[in-house]
Parts: sequence; C-alpha cells; structure tokens
Amino acid sequence: MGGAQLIAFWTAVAAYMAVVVGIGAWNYRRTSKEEGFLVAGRSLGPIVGGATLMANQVSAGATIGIVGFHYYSGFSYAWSWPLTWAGWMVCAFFVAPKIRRHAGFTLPDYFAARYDSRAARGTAALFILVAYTVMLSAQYQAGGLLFTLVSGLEYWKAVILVAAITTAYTMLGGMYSNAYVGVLKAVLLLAGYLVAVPFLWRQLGGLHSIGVALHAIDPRLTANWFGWRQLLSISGAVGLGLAAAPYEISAIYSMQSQRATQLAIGWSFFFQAFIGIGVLVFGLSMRVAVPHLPDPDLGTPMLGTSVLPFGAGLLVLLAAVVTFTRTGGAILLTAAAAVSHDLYGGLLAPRASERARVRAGRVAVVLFSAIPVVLAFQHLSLVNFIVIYAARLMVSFLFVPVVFGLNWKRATAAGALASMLGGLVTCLVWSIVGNPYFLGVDSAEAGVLVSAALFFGVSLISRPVGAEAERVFFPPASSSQPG
Amino acid sequence: MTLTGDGHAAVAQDYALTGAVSDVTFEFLTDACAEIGRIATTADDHSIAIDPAEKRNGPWTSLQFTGISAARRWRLSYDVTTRGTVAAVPILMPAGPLDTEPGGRGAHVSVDVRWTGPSGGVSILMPRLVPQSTPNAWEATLLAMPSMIRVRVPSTAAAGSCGPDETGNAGGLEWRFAVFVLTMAVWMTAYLAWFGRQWAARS
Repeated sequence: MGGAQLIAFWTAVAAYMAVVVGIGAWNYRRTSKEEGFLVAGRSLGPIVGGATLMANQVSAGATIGIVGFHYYSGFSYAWSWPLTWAGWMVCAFFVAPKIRRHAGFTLPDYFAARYDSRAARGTAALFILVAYTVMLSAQYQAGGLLFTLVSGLEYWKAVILVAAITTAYTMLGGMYSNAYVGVLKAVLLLAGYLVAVPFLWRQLGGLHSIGVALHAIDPRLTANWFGWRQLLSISGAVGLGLAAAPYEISAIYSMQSQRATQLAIGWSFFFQAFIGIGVLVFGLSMRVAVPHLPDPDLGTPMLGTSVLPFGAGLLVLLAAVVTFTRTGGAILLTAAAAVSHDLYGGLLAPRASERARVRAGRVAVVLFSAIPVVLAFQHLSLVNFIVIYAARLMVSFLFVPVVFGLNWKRATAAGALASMLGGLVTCLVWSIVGNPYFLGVDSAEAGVLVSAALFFGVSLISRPVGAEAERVFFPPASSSQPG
Repeated sequence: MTLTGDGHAAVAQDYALTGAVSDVTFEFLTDACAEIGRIATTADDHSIAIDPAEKRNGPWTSLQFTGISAARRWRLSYDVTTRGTVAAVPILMPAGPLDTEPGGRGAHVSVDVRWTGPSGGVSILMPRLVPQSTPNAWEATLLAMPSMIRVRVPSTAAAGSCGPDETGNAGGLEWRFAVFVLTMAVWMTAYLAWFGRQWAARS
C-alpha cells in the first residue's frame, strides 16, 4: 500500500491504539489490585465473556495462519473448528464449573489449591512460560509479516513494533483491557468478514466456480487434503489444550458466575463460526485469485492490501492487527501472572504486598515480551504450525492434571508433578525423534498418554492430598452453590 | 492491459527472469465471459514461431514452451474478447511462484490498466488498483501474479451479455461447505438452548 491508503492504515492502527490506551487508562485504577488486573474483578457476563474466550483462542494462527492453511491445503482444515469445539465441551462440563467455583487468579493457583503443593504451582508456572514463549512468537511473526507487507517496514522493525503495541496495552489495562478489546476484536472480525466474504464470493463467481478451479489444481483441495487422522490429532491438541489453556482458565476466573461461564462458551461458538467461515472463504478465494503466493501466510496481508476494496481491506487488516495484539496480550498477561502471582508472590516473596505483586506483573509483561521477539526474528515456520506446536506442548503437560485432577479425588501432588514433567518431556522428545507420527502416534498424543499413565500410577502409590484441598474441588453435594 | 470500448482488452506482459530457463510453462484461468485470442511470444526479443503445447485442466489452461534456448526476458501479448458488463480478463502466469525480490517478502509485479473508451463508468473490481494521475488509468504493485483482472464497463460499452458458468466439477466443495456451516449452526444453537434451559430451571 502507498500514499493515502497507507496513511489511512496507520491512522486506523493509531486510533485502535488510542482506544486501547483509553480503555487501559480508564481501568487503571480498577487494576491496582490483583483481582482487577488479573481477572477483571470477576465481572464478565456471557457475551463479553464469550468474546473474551474467542479472542483468546482466535489468534494470528487463525486470521493469518489458518487462511494460509486453507490457501495451500483447501477445504478439509475447516473441520478443525467443530473438532476443536469438542475440547470446549470438555471444558464446559468438566472444567469450567469447578474452576469458576474455586475463584483463583491463575492456572498455577489451581495447582496450588488442588494439590496443596508449591512445587506443582512453580512447575506449572515455569512450563506455561516455555509454551507461551513459542505461542507469542507466532503472534509477533504474523504481525511482523503484516506490517512489513502493508507499510514496507523492515521485518525486524515490524516485529518490534508489534511487540511494543502488545506490551503497552497489556501493561496498562490487564484483564479489563483484554476483555473490552476482545469485544472490539469480535466486532471488527465480524464486520470485516461480513463485507469481505460476499465480495470475494461475487467476484469469483460463487462457491461452485471456486470449487471447479480448486478441484482442477488438485482434487484434494476440495475434499480431504488432511485425513481424519491428521485432523483429529491437530484438533485434539488444540481443542483439548483449550480445555486447560492457562489464558482461558484466567478468562473463566474472570466470569461473573458458573452460569456466565457456560453460556460464554456458547457465545464464543457464535463468534468462532463466523470467523471459521470467513477464513475458509479467504483461503480458498485467494488460491484462485492469486494462485502462486511465495508464502501461504501472505494470503491475508495480500487480501487486505491488494485484493479487497480499500474499506473492506482496511477492516480485514485492522482485524488482523487486533487479533495478534489481543491474543499476544492475553498470552503476556498469563505469563506475567505466572511470574508475578505464582513465582514471585507464591514462591519467592509470599509476603509481598498486593501493590508490589501488580508492579512485578507489569515488569514481567515487559521482560517476557522480549524473548519471543528473538524467536520471531528467526521466522521458524508457518504461523499456524508454530501455534499448533505450542498447543501440543501445552496439552501434553496440562490436560491430564487439570481435567482429570478436577474430576478424580485420588489425584496427588506427586502424580501431578510426574504427569507434567513426563508429558512435556515426551512431547519434546517425540517431536525431535519423529514427525509426524512416530510409531503411529502424534507427539501430543504420546505426551498425553505418558502424562496420564504417570498421573494415575504415581497418584495411586503416593500420599493423598489434605482434606481442605479436597473440599474445595469435591464439596459435599449439599454445599454446591448454583450460579 | 488496455481496455477498449468495444469489449476488447489488449494484454501485454513482460517478464524479467533472474535466471535463464529453456522450458517455460504459463497458465491462465478461463472465464465464461472472456475469450483469449492468439498469443504472441518473444524470448530475449526473438519471436517464438513454435506453438506451445497446450493442456487443459478444468478451467485452467497451461502453455508449455520447450526447446527455447535459455531466455531471460519473456514478452507475451494477446487480445481478450469480453462479454457482459463485468468480465474477468485472464492473465497468463508462470506456473509457479515468481522469485522473491531481494530483501522483500514477495515478487515485484507491476500492473497497469488503461481504458480507451468513453470516459467514466469503468471500474477495476479486483485486484485493487489505484487511479493514476492521468484519467482512465490505474496501477498497482503486487507480490504475486493475479489470475485475472475483473473490470466493470458501462453497459453501452459491453458486448453482449454473460452469466456465471455453472458447469464443471467442483469436487463436492458445495455440499461439504453446507455440511460444515450446518454443523456449526446446529451445535451452537443446541448448546445455548440446552445450557440456557438448565440455568433457567436451576434459578
């Protein structure tokens, strides 16, 4: 883009930043305490909560990465949306109600309370930092690509700009900003996609014409490029990972009630359905309109800068900017909470004042933001592959101790620790030893299997947790509170 | 590309290759409302007398030039006859990604469109081109070759009429898309209805 269009793009980004900073400043006093900064004062209703859950999940991996996936692999990856929703169902039935009733701040809080163990809290916090470093680098990479293409900025400068924008608004507003910017993200995505999808549909002669052109390139593009085995393994990692994802757990802690939490998951389906259809049409259309892109991840940037009419293109680009900064913000906030609340406040300085912990959280946002920048400079892989890799890491060490830990009384701290360590190491080693299905098993599946075996085995031979820890998550039937 | 007011488009393409190649394949996407005429080709300023091997694959047509001594500059020109007020002028593309510009993220593709018919009423629908300072002229620099340039011309300048082409095998994309949308719609509605009723009953 050049001239007036480039000025309009930067003006829109500046306006978005002004709105974000405004939200942050407006909420700054409300975020002087941890309950405000980390869980938005537990004030989110079903719709804002649904937008927040969606905004955490729908990262640059979707708006840029999945468009790229559809561009080169066609239709079949669309099934990853409903398959991922199976993970959300696990969350709705087996995770969200108990997590919300616990009313903690972070996922490591859950580990500390459920397993009555500082070691479990610290280990979870450390592992979350590792997985989220990878995940955040994907957001920065996607943002860097987009800013480079739109403005001609050098890639490394663009990555730093994306990191700066993300860091600024997370530092200022915490979870309140994340929630309201989540709503802004939902509105922008819906508006952009509602304009862009019919335009592409019309210009390319409808779905039939798109299908005819794609089928001729490769029949797998309109059918099953990815087989069910691959789709189940990818969606299993992403979906089941979401059931125990630290940023989604923080969002659940931020909801008004159990009712709001379960309905919010339904509203997040509503937003995701629009986005799933949008990114599908974008990817397929771009493959017909510009069949030989040098990099599939350029699909969305090129769609916004060179294919759609200016207004629709600007909306799609701005939605992408909001997507990677907002999800980056959620990741940063979760990582900052792991440092300030769990490692600093929970382990290193348990007597630190609340103000000191919030300050530590803001410093952690800045420090943690820097490491993924270095990874993003390396341009490791396609954006969505990086997101999937981070999801695999996360599901391998979190799914079992969170989901089974919430629903099996006999689980112990030793079992949870063995499960986390065994799951993560197995996933890492599996990824290095053989891709994609060493011994017919995917790295995330191997991680979860080992994690589960260790969890149940070690729990059965170790000392049970205390009665207090048990009471929080397995209350007698008479003391369960609705809502 | 030059569009005339009688439903014709003259397309001239100029490729500067970074390496010399002897076998080159170009391809284009046919459109029911546009017909490509004879293609004139030069390689390193020498006119190519041989006809390329033409191969059709659904709406895609590929043209393979073989036995050309390693050429670095290719020029192609052809006329396109369009019907209807909206037409997609096919663009001949090399059948693979172009080289990325040094230090850039994509290739350097300059597109230049001119309209020589009566002033006004013409718009370039896709890709997005920017009006030049001279009237009835548009341009853009892209990262990759577009498969078409879609234009809308005034009805007075349109030759005949044309509708969408419903022939060809879409590989089941339409029903798969419908099942996908329906799955999500039913799932979302059922979920909200079920949990809504559960909480209403509890309160």
